[in-house]
Amino acid sequence: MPAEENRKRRVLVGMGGCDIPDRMMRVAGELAAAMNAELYGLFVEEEYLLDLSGLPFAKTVGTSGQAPRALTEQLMTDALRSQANLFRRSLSDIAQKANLNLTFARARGRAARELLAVARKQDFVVLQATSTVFTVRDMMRAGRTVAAEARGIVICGQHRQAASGPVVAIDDGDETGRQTLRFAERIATTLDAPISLLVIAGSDDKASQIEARAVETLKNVKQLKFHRLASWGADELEVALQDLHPSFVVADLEGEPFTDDETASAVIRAAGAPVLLIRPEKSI
Amino acid sequence: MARIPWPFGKDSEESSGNMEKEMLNPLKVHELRRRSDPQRFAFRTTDELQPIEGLIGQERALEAVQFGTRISSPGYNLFALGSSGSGRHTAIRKLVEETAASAPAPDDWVYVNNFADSHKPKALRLPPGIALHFRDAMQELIEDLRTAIPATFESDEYRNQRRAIDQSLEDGHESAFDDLRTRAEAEHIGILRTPMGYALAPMQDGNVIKPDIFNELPLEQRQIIESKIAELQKELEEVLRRLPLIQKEHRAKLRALNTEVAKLTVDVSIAEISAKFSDVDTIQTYLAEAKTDLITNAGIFLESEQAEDGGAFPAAALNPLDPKFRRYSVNVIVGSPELAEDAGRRRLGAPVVFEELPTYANLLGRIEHISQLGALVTDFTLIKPGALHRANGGFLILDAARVLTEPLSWEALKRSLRGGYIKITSAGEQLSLVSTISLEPDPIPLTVKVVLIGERMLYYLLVSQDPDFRDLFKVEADFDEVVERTDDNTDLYARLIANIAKREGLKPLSREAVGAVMDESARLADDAERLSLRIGKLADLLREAHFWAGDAGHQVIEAENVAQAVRKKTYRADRIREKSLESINRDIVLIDSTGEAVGQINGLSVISFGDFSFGRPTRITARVRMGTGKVVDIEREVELGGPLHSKGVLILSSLLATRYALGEPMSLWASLVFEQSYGGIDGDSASSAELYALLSALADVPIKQSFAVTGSVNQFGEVQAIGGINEKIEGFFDVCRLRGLTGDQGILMPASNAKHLMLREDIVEAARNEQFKIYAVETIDQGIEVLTAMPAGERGPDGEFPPDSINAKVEAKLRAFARARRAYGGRDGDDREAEAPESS
Repeated sequence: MPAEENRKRRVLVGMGGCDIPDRMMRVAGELAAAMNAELYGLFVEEEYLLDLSGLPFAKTVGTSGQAPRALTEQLMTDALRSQANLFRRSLSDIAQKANLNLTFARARGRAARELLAVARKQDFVVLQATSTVFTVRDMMRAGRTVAAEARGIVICGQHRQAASGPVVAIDDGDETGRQTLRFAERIATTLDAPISLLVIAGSDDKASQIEARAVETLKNVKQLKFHRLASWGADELEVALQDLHPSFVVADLEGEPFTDDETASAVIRAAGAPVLLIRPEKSI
Repeated sequence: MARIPWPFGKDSEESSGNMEKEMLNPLKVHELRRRSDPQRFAFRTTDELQPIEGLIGQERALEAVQFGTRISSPGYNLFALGSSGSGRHTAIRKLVEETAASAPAPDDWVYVNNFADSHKPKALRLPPGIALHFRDAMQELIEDLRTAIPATFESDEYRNQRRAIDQSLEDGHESAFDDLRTRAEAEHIGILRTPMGYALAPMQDGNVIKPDIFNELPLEQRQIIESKIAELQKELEEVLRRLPLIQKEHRAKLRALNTEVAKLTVDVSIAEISAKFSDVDTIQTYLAEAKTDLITNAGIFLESEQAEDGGAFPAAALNPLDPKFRRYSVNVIVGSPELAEDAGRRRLGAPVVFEELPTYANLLGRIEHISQLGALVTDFTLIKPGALHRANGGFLILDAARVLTEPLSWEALKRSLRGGYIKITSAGEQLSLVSTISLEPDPIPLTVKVVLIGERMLYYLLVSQDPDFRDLFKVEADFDEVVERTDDNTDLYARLIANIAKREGLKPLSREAVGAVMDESARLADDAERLSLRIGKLADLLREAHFWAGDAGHQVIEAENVAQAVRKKTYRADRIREKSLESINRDIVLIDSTGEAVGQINGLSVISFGDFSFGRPTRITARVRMGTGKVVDIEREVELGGPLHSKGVLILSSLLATRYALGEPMSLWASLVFEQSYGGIDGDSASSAELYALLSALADVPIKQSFAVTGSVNQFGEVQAIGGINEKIEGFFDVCRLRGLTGDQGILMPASNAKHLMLREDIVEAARNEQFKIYAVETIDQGIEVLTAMPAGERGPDGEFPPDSINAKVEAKLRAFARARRAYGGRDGDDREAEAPESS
């Protein structure tokens, strides 16, 4: 077994110096607990912010549209330091409560690039979208880059309500399906939630095969439900996810719904819950 | 010589100075102690008697209590006055409970949250027996809603509607930004998120243009970029300003949805409870307010649900007394238990409350506080009822002395009775000691009959000192301490004794024992013709007699056990009396019980230590000389004599001045003293003894020291009744007995006290054997004759006392003083006291 795999799995949570996303950190904590992984917090002083503050006309507009304020390099440096401390403290609280190991690091550069630099093959990277600048689509795009070096990514949308429904696994019958089920099982155990399997199959036979495989893989799971999607389509998937009110979604990053960023972001938004996208093991 | 009026009440002409008058006889043996005759009792033991219910001889007080408890006009509260142990508590409780039993049950009262102003909890009046059901129903309602509301908000229907609203917000945000971002990107300008907000920057290949590169751009290009950024910045400001409006709209939509969803659940639950209490208007009004509040605050039921789920880190299990839900609690202040059906009418009776410790808070109730994060907080559930709440609609019995000695209680009680409501405020607020935010609960209307039980003195003090008292306590129930010792009352008293014995689980009493108890009761009443109604003391005597009967192995309490109980009780308290007697016997305190002396007499006083009193002889001496007509009371001069004693001395001064040598100026100087008395003296019971001593000194005739004297005297020389006659006689008897009874010893006492005599058996025995004599005198003349064995003498037709009579000698001495004074005045021309030799 390569040395890489002997290392303990990590959940990477990166922050680029803007909001302190509580939900993202909580999801990271839940995932680390489920995967028996360590938490790795990386605060990235985004280069673009430093470049911005060096421009002579640089100004910021408050989130509620307050009058613009001149931006200086010193102001930006202080703000980033303060954000880093806050991020570290919040993450530390979560790690302490869930009895997780925490590593915290700081870097300067581009968040995606720096995450990529520290990511290892067995890591999961948690990313948070916002409804304004960094949309789910943006995160999906960044996540794909990061996921090239990791086991999977978690995209957190702007969910207004903490969901308490099942852990939903999306299985279209390919090789990665079994891994998806296993990760779903771990998360469901941690959240004490049932599992609902969304089966995407062109025929009943295929669907039955997928379900049989799920029963075999999840033999220890007591609450398992199946929902078949008769035909593949983003709209059908979105409706199904909305009906299920999932607390977490697990899927194959290379599965059909996530092949393009636009569709992927629509599905993630419809889920209303964090979505874990697993990179197929064969491709690692 | 003018005829001088003879003040002694007898016809002076008939008397005509007769020196052959018969000497006074001592009292007969049967007059010294009136014994009960057991033979007149028709029973053998008290077991055969029908115990008497209630009190005897208290008709006046009981009628007052019945009147006071039945009259419903305001201010007709009762004050039961009398001595402790007179059975007032028991009698009042019994009577009040009888009246209360037939009265209707009072309304229930609860405090509920005031949803409009939580600092002013609302008091709800409910029909009797409803409060506890209402409280339980509200508790059930909240328990139901804690499940039902989260379930409703978890429903697919709600989630879908909620998601749609959330989605519209996100869409609103994104569309606002998307348009701007698209236009900015077209101009190679990026919208960036920074820790302080949003910013716009020129972009190149997806990156912000570095400052040094930007600065190298031609000025014109830089200006164009800056201009575009400034323009877009304005648009960005506009977009951002619109975001709060979108959010506000979102919140409003969400609120409307939540209200609609919550209403469905709350309506069902409230309708259920409302139906249960459909005939209670106050509950209906409250439920309407509670419904509105529940719908508005449905979120608190969701918060608790979310706290229970808690994601990967579940919170601690929800506390069932979660303060969030306390706002819907019902605090029962007065709640009757389930009412019994009585002939189709629901009835329980009015409450009778006896508050042992009437502190301010125990009377009016209190607002308690709990500590939360170091601060003291309170709410309407922490309002605790007081005795007035519990007794509202019924009767409250209080010990007057305790109410008066508890700070603020008396004023609070009066305020409540006067105002007709109970208003709970803390004592700290009353005294302006505390200024923390507290509650102002609705006052509760008060209809209560207060019965104060107290000593007679307290009642009269309140009447004279407290102007409100008479308005608020219009009914006085005056409990007598004694009852006449008639045959009828004696029979009733025997039944009362039987009642106490039965109630206390004591052995029955033989009829002889009953007689002995009655004799002791008369002694307790200080009157042979009365029986004491101090039930407490009577019960003590019976308990102790029961003990000694048990000790002797008797099945029945016999007279000897009663006597033993009295003897042992006296012995236990007797140490000081013994020491006093010992000091007399050892001549440390000088008391003569034989021989004669001029200007010296044995007076008698009573010393009390708590419950125990005993008599003691005291030597009183008098000295006289010529002077200006002044009798000096040495006790008064040194402020050891009380006002009553001084009054006695002034009376006897007046008697001397108006009885003797009326044609001469009063030219006497005399001094009176209680020898070896170092404590205060009060009362006028020694005034006859003081007069005898003065007469002896003036007449220069010795007084027999084998006598002791008690009785007060009036200006006409009549001897008047005094208190503690039995103890006083026993006090001198004990001294004589200790030294050996001679047969000459005895007591001079007022004739009007003869009916009070209940002397000890040993004195009665000594009198029977003529070893000790007790003379009941009506006048000073009778007394002085016994004390000096000389006639007092009455004025003859010539206005003169017979020669060789005491009175003649007294008058002669006073005339001599007057002459000497005139002679002295002629020499000096003034009234200064002459330096004449002392006379006695």
